[in-house]
Amino acid sequence: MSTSILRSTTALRTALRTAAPQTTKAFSTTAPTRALATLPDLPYDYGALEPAISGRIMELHHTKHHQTYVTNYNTVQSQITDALSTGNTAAAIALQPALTFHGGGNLNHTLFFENLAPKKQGGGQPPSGPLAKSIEMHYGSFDKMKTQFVAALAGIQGSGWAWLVQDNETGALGIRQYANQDPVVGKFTPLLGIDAWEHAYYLQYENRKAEYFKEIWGVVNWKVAEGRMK
Amino acid sequence: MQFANLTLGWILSLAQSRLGVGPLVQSKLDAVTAPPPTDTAYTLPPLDYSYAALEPHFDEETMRIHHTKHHQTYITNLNAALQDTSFVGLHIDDLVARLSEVPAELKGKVRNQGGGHANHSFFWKNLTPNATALAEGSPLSQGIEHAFGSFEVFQQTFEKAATSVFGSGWAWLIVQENGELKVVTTLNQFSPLMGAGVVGKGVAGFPVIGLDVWEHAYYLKYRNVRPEYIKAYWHVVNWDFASDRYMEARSSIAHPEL
Repeated sequence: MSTSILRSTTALRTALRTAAPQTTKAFSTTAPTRALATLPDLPYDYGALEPAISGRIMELHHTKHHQTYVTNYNTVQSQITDALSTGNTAAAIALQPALTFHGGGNLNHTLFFENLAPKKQGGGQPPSGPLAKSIEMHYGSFDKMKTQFVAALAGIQGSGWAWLVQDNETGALGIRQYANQDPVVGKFTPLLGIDAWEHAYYLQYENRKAEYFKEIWGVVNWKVAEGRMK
Repeated sequence: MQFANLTLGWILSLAQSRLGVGPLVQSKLDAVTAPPPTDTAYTLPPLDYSYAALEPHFDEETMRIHHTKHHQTYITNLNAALQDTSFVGLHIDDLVARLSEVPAELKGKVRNQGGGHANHSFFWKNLTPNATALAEGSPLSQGIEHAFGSFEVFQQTFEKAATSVFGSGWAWLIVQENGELKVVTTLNQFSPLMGAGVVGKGVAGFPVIGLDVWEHAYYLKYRNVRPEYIKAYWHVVNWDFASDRYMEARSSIAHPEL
């Protein structure tokens, strides 16, 4: 079920809008039901994004890092639900950072892998529809937007992400940095994200992150980004 | 605020005493004339051992890249930021302890790049290829037992802290202002030396040991398995250096607890 959700844009939009992890099981006991997250498949092979991102990185990034966020998010969900159902407000609140980290990690990586594509599946093709118009309106040109995006990535201290986002009220585009695994929630809708954690590029680029921030544009899926616009 | 100033003053005096000038003398010097700025930019300190010396625990490639690329970049960026300012020539630990004096437009850069230089300079000294166990009955060993109950519990506490840093950062064993040992963590390149005003009362102090848990510190060899890297760290900790640090911190405290 999770793979077909990934390949269908409509279902994907719905899933993202409800901001719920994909449901594959529910506990049918007297305990409150929980929607367990599962690791979504990639819509391309691990090696398909080369030479921009190596197959080795893609496999580790997906099967280890993303999987760990999924696993730990499910654990945190359990713990919070238990705390809330026993009225232990303090314990539930104490779990917030873990929820943000692991839940955010799951959200971010799900969106990230979807907004990448091999060249032969349109990766790197600049946007042409409403997103293109909006980019031109807000930044002057696609290249100017890219320059700002790269500057945002380069400016991240430690671990984090940069996102092209849309303001939910005004529809305006923006480029924002998010620390660690803080997800894009609330005022903004995430359109396109780039992972700037070292694990996203280290095996291939080592400390040369500027190179990674340059090469990744060759495998960015602008169609998916446009599909996320409200 | 009072407490923050006390902690900062203590850390500053420690930093200054390591330059061979105690706090009493320094304050007399300050009263007479401000030290003239030198144009000595920061440079990359050499390691006391080869890049391969910490194998198999810390791999050669990581040590080489970590030292010659990551640490060097912090230094290069710091020098660029401080060009033509009066902060050039300060010992790096002194600089990070004085973060509050840095002009607002430079603070972020100095915190990130200066913190990076200070933390990594400390880290290389904190490691050794000739690690021996911390001597039982030694002052640091006693301090650890007093604070944690046993060395094993201290290790578990440290491992848990290092594992649970959500993102980039460091795990530390510090001496607090009251002389007590404590395990703390900092994000990115924050350092306990920066004082309570920057890292908070609970995290400020004098590092005795520290572990870099940025992914660049372990990714080539350990991939995403940070806990394995943390376990490997125990094989390369320089407890002699740590003991010296502990004694240095304790000797500058008027009435340490314990």
